[in-house]
Amino acid sequence: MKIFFENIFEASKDAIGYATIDGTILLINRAFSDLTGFSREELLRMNVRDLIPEQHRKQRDDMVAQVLKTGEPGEYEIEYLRKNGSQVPVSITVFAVKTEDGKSTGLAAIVRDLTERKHAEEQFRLVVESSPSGLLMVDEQGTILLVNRQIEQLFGYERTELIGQSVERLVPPQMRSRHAGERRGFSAHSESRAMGKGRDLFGLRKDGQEFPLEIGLSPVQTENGIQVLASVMDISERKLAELTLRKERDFINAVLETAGALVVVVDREGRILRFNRACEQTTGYSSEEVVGRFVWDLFIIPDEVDGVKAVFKRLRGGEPRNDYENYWKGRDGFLRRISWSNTVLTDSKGMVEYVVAAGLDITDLKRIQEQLRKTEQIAELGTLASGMAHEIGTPMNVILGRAEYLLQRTADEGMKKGLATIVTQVERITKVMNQLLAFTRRRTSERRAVDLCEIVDNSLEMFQERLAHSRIEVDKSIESPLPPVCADRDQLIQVLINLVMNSLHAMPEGGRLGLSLTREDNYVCLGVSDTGHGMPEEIRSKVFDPFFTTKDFGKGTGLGLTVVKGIIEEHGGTITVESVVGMGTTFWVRLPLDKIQTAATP
Amino acid sequence: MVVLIVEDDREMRSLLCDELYDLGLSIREAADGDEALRLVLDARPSLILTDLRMPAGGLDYISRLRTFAPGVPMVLITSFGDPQTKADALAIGVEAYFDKPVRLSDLRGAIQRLLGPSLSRKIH
Repeated sequence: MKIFFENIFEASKDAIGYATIDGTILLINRAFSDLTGFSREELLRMNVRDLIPEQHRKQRDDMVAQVLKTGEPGEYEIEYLRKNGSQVPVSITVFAVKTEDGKSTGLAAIVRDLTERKHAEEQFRLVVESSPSGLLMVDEQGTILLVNRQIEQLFGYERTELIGQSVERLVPPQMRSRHAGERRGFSAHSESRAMGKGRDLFGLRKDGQEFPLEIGLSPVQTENGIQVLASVMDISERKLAELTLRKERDFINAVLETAGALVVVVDREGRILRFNRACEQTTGYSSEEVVGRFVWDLFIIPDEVDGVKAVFKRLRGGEPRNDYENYWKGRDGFLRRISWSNTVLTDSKGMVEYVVAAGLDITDLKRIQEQLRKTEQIAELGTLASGMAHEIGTPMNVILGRAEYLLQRTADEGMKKGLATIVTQVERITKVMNQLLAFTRRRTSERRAVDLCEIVDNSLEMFQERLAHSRIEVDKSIESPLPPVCADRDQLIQVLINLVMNSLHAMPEGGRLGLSLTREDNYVCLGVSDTGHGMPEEIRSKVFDPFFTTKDFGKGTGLGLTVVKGIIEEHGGTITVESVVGMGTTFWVRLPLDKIQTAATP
Repeated sequence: MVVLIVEDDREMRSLLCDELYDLGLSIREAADGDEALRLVLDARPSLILTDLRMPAGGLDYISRLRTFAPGVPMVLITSFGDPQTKADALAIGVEAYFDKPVRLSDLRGAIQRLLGPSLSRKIH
């Protein structure tokens, strides 16, 4: 049994020694010898106090006195002197060895080498001290155990003013109770995390100033329970930068949203990033609907996609800015003409990052300009026509009158025929002149919601007799229900009469007159077709030109289709013509829907 | 029965004279507005046939003519006049209005209507 204990005693990693009450060493193990560097023989001739540096001896004596007095073991940390003169930090547990009658006979000590731990502690201190963030350690009660230099600077305290104090001293008064609560909660289920997730945290400086901060928390398990290491960052500058940035952004947003101009920002691929309110109003799409999509997938009409892509490519290819004009098709199908000014924004490497397009809706402007141009043209034509009418009126009257005068006074049939021709021809000139004058003196049109179906029926009625006599069959196809168009009723009747008249002229031998009405997006499409002789391209391309006519001498004025085209265009519509020689001709008229009526009746 | 013909174009005037002469009417001719106003007092015509646009012409001239010869029917012939001219002329009290070129048959009809049955006998 004794051998057994001796073995344990010798094998212990901790140094174990036994000395008399006055400190004379009686027994030591190998670890004791290893720790101090003295051999067993040397140690057995020494007093325990020889191992303690002069300045710490009192601390040791006090501890021993306390142990002897209370009979309880005592623990303390101290330096040991080694044989080579160096010192080694140790932790000593000392207790009195007693006889059976309770009298202390000697002192036993277990001595642990603290070099490793002290080294680790020193390293920890260095790490903490050199950290760019403020670090502080608190215990479960919130008492500050450790702070680094950064904390001193952040909060304006000396570390001696903080250590041993409650950490709440660093928290603004109005947040203290909440902070204490959360701190206790953290100690209960501790894990590393950021403090005050999603909430602004503030610190309180010694001078009473508050500042925004961010805190990371790490629990540290120690022999004295859980301690918490808090890493503190002053984010005043970041907050200030954020504020400046937000202000800047709000300012830009306000400018973008207030401007009447359309502003679209796209990335280098052409995907929409910004779509201001003017864009939303013009297109009927919300910003949420279009962001991330390609401009040409949404607004550009098929004919213009290539052009828009080419302009975009030029911007990406290094052209810093350019101007372009195109149509944008809104959700409702209506086209708006937009004049764009495009600018590129490049990144720090000079690569195109964004393209900013600022656009003005010039639809109305264009229409007004066009109307003005037409009005001016017509006014000019009017001046010319009435001047001409005045100049030729009298000579024409002389020719007409003389022919009539002679016609009444001759019996010669040949003469009569010739004179009658003169009369007819002068009347033909008169007709052209009158039509020209009427064209230039057209009254301003009155627009209202008009049912094209009714116009078609009305116009056909006027031709009823003629249709019956000329072996022409009418083929009417009308989509129902058909929304109204916004137009001048009388002018549309004039259009119908002109087109039907043309068709009838094309079918002297009879045939089929086709009339169709269909809705196409936001237009009503009117088709007027015949199965007549058709037209070759050189004629087809000129049918709308003024004074162009294919009719026999004396039958047409060459103004009918010019007037028709004028009326349709004034209504914001289009007219086109298709023709195949020997097969027939079709006129297609597209008139915009009456917006108000259409909106009211879905 | 005297008819006053006012027309600055010689050929036109000649045509009207020939036509009206054949209706058996006496004719006085004037080539401008001033001459017409002088003649109307002198000749006391039963009918005035006049152009509008000519020297000393215009709607002012028509008004004055109306004042000088109240009750004498007036026939106005003017080159492709616009509807406004026609309305103004009718407001002044012109009895008949024609745009040039006028058909002689139409003109004759108007003259017959204005001069009444006294003329009808003389038409061949």
